[in-house]
Amino acid sequence: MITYLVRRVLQSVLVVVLVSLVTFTLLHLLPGGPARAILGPRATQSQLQQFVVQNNYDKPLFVQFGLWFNGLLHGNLGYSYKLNENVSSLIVDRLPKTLVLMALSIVVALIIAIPLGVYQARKRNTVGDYLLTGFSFVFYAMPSFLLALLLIILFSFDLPWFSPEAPQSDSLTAILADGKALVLPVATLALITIAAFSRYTRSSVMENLTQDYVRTAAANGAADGRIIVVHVMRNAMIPVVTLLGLSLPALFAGALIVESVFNYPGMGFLFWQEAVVRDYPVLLGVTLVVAVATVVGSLLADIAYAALDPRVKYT
Amino acid sequence: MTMNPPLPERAAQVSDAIAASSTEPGAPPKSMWRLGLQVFLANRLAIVGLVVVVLFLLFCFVGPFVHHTEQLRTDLAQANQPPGAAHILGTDDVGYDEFGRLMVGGQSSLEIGIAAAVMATLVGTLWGAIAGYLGGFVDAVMMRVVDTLLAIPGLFLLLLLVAIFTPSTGLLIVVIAFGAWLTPARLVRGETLSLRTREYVQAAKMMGGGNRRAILKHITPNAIGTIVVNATFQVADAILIVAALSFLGLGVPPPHADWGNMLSDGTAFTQNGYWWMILPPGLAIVLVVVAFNFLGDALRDAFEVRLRRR
Amino acid sequence: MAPVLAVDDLRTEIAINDGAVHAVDGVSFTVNRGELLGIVGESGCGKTMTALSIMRLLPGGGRITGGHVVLGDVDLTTLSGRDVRAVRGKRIGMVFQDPMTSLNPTIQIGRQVAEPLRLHTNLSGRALTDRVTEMLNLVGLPQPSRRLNAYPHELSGGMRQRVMIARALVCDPELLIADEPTTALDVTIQQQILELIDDLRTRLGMAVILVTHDLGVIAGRADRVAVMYAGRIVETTDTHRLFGNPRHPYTEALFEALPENAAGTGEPLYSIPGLPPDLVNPPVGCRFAARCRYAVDRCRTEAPPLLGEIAGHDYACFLPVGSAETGPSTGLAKPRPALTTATAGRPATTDEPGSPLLTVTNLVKDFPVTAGAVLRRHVGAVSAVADVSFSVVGGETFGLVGESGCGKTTIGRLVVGMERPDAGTIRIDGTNVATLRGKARRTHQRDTHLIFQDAYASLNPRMRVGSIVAEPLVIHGIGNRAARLARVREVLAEVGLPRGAIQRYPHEFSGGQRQRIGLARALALQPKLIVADEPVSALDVSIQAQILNLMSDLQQRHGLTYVFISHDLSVVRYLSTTIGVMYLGKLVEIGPAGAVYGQPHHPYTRGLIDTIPVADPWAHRAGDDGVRGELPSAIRPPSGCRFRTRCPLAQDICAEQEPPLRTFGADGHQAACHFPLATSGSVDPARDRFAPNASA
Repeated sequence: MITYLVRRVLQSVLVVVLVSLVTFTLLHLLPGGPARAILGPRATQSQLQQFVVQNNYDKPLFVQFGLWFNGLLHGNLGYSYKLNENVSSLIVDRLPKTLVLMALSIVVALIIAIPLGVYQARKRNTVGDYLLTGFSFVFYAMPSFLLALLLIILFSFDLPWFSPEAPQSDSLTAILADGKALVLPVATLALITIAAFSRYTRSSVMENLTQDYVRTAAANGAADGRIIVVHVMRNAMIPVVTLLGLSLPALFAGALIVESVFNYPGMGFLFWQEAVVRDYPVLLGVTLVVAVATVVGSLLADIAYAALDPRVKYT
Repeated sequence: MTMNPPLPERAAQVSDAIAASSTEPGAPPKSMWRLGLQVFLANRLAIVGLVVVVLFLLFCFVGPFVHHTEQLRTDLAQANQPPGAAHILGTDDVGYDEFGRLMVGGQSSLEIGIAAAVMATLVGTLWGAIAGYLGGFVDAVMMRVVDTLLAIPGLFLLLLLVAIFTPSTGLLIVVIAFGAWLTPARLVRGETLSLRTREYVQAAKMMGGGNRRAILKHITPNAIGTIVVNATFQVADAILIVAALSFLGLGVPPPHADWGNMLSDGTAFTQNGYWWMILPPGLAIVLVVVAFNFLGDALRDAFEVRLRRR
Repeated sequence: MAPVLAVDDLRTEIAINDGAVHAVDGVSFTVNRGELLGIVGESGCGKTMTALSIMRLLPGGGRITGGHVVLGDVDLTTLSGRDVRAVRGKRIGMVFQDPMTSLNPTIQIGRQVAEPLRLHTNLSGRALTDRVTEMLNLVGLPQPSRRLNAYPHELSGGMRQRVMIARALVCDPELLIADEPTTALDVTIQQQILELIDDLRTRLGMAVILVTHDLGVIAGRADRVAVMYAGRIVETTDTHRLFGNPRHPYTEALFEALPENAAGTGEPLYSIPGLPPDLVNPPVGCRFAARCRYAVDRCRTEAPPLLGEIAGHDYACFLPVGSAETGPSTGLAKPRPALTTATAGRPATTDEPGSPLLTVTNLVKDFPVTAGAVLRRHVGAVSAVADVSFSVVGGETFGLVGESGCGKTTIGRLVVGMERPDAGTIRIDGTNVATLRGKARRTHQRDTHLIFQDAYASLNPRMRVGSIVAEPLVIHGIGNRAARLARVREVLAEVGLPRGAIQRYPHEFSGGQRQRIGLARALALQPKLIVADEPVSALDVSIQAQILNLMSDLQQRHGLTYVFISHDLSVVRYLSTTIGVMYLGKLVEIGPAGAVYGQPHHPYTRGLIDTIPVADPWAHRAGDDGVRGELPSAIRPPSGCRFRTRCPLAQDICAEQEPPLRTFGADGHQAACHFPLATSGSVDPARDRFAPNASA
């Protein structure tokens, strides 16, 4: 187990270093060079010169990378001249909000998707299964922003139940307190996740139901319900944990769109706003943080997998 | 790269009947492709998918020759017209005919989607096949590259890239393919790794066959199904990505039209009840994406014919 | 005494797209308390469906369409779902074929064995654990209380099957149904499991239904046997009568198809022509008529009833074979051919001894085992082949036997060049192929060919049979397209496949036909040596006989040399001139087939021979003589003699010194043992189960 963990962590660290290398490369691909791109077209030559020296852009590339990476390790993600703020403090403020949105959506999605998938697997090829399959196909094919728009039209304009805008407060507690305003953003992200996860649960449970060990349990006198709960669920959920890890990039992308549609003050919304005005330090910083979050998430998923499946070899 | 969480293997629901019938002693021999085609055609959803895709291609690429509309000059006098005799689906906020714009916009959505998917599949297949077949150090390096890029959520990478490089249709294709080739690369690598150890590949080596033969005659024909199926899903995903970028205002700039920026324009009028600016492009995206997903599913079943009889 | 279970006219159908498979079609039998009923038949005959129908555990689309299954005084077919569940695991226990997949991989075995108790009794806590431990102890799981929290993958195959049996019997059922309980296990483990079932039957006084395809398994254990064919019972009687005087032509043919019946004679086996009928539209009349050598018109139009001349022996045939029933049977209907050390296996095709075609010297192959987080260090090696030497005379067959993991497959792969040896030489016609590289090696690969166990997996599913068979010709650039096609036609005809096969894909063929395709591909280049790795293990007895006959035909026609690898001693013995017995990477005994079987010198060979189930109820049963225990790890093989951990004769020296191969007699019979079994004198007739039966 220890060996497995060590190897997995080392792999993740390597990926994080490589991601930072990618970001560093992009920094140098910025139009007009990093200084011009970051300070903007109105910066004077002397300002640019000062910026270059200040940020070591005059040193050899590998030295630059070393210094830059050292900065990263100390939480220095650069400075946004457009927002006049440190990128790291922007992210510290915004990241928890995004994570809360994602976590809520995942929890809601799993609570709904897993029973739905199990139901479909048990009632496979019935009208109910076909209907749910149809729904999941549509939701899976639906762009998240379209779903968000439709939900707004239906549930805040036609039926004035929920706010079309997410909570706008700066504090996380205030956001969570405004539950009603959170409903539509969470629902959007959750619905799309449900589509994929219920399909996956369905096929995973169905596959497990054909396994020999299910027949053994039935031969012992176990009823269908017990077979599902005691025998099939754990086996069927092991791949779902992997899927959860693999879905993180997609969930971050979904969060970006949902935040943008609902003006939710998370990291995705920040990213979008700054992408439109080309505030490169913020874009690079957020990209890096999101990538690290994804790597950590996948790592956690893998560890959960190893913990859930006794067959995983730890060597 | 996908917009939504990866959709799992959908359970095969196709009837055995056709595959079975051809194995009867008297039946004339059928080629693998014919057999696959029969399974494909027996799947009603596949037919629906195929019909929808073909109809949309006709609508977008032939439609403008039949239904002429002004899509270059704005006409503010005609702005925000509800559907009626003059404009089947009304007009948008600068007076473009929505129905005609749906055709033009569809052209670019489909072009970018299909081109990006083809490009991603070609690059990814090559990358994955090389890594999987050579194995060892080369494989490790090549796969770390894939892991790294996969760690960066696709949409963030794309927005970053289009913020750095001003998008055009061509650039968008390249950028989307850049984010999308990773999935086929992983898939093909896995497939190559597993096919390499199959007994029929080993048998060929045992008889003195070389690597070239193993790749060309044994591995490729058996991996092609996976590749084609994935390419189909890639088209669906690429169409969703194009729409998302345009919706966020970072697609190809106006006056260029696609379904995503049509929707984005319509968003401003959600409260006015101008449904014709939202529903048609939205429905178009959903229909095309569902259709490609159906096609992919059916193709998967068709390619699995060989595995159905043991 | 009322039977424990009475099945009456059971009919089961499985719905498929274009109709229904009549999997069980009017089956009736009874089982009494303490009795073991064997249900025997080839794959697809409905034996497993019969077992599943009793439990009402039919797969999707399956349903019982008629008949009764009466357990005690309850008709199971009429019970509600809830009431059937109360019977399963409580009154009837069931054991399935593959203990790996039949146990839940993510639940500890203690909890799995406890499941029936939780469902059917009020036991809980300490009492529950005690009962589970007691049961695991009863089935022979060592240190059961410490293994309660083990997961199935942490146990060996044999131990898993013991756990399965414990789980089936933990509620003291009246009836145990065992469906091919030992088919997935090695022969020495099979013996132990069968013995356990037999032992528990007597001790617990329960009825047992043993479903199997293996006549040997039935012969040793069953009180009564029902032979099934195409969804029906064709013959049923007590075991001795069935083996002594089979009346149904199908039963007779099954016996004749067994390779042990023609061992050492060089005669072809009887093989049942054709394939079993399609059960979607079963034929009217006798279902075996199409394959029966005695069938007359009446057989094809009218179904024979299951009746007999005397009570207790019923058969469904108008023209029964065998003799009219008189007294009890005392021996096999057709006694086995005599086997003495003088007639050594199959006669060689050449008259003089000939020179060796293949000579293997001091062959070694290790597979590295790695560990470590970052840099994968080698922490050890699986010693797959350890210093093995043997030679094979051209035109003869060298049989290689041993349990799975003994290294026999690795030797096969080394000989055809699929693996490279770590040490030693492999000479084919004088050339050491082990050191050849590049083109020279490829040229030499023309001379050898490997036949795989799983024929289907060895055929590219996307290639037509024509291209598959032509592939070796293409690889070696032989002939033009027309010449190759001609050659393909020629070899397909030789292996008995129709010309139309060229255009077809592998999935369109049955298992036996696929193995024929493999043989055709092997023949295409006219090789000198064919290594056949378990070529018939996946096939039913009647099909197996077809392939074995074909192989010896081809050998005689082309002077082929075979290395025949199998775990099945009867098959190896039938085909081989010389036999090598392997244990954990070592060749422990080698010699003429007759000598090795007739007078084994190594205790492992003796144990192995005692352990194989022989289709003869009068034969001596191994009891405690069989090979006990389980195969040790090949990563750290035992010091000295690798067999010593399971050897009844082992002494201190066996752990200290590795026994060299020692010669016994003049015919090249060698064994590697410090305490070899008696070298001279007659073999104890009671123990030589291959000798003609004394009373026959």
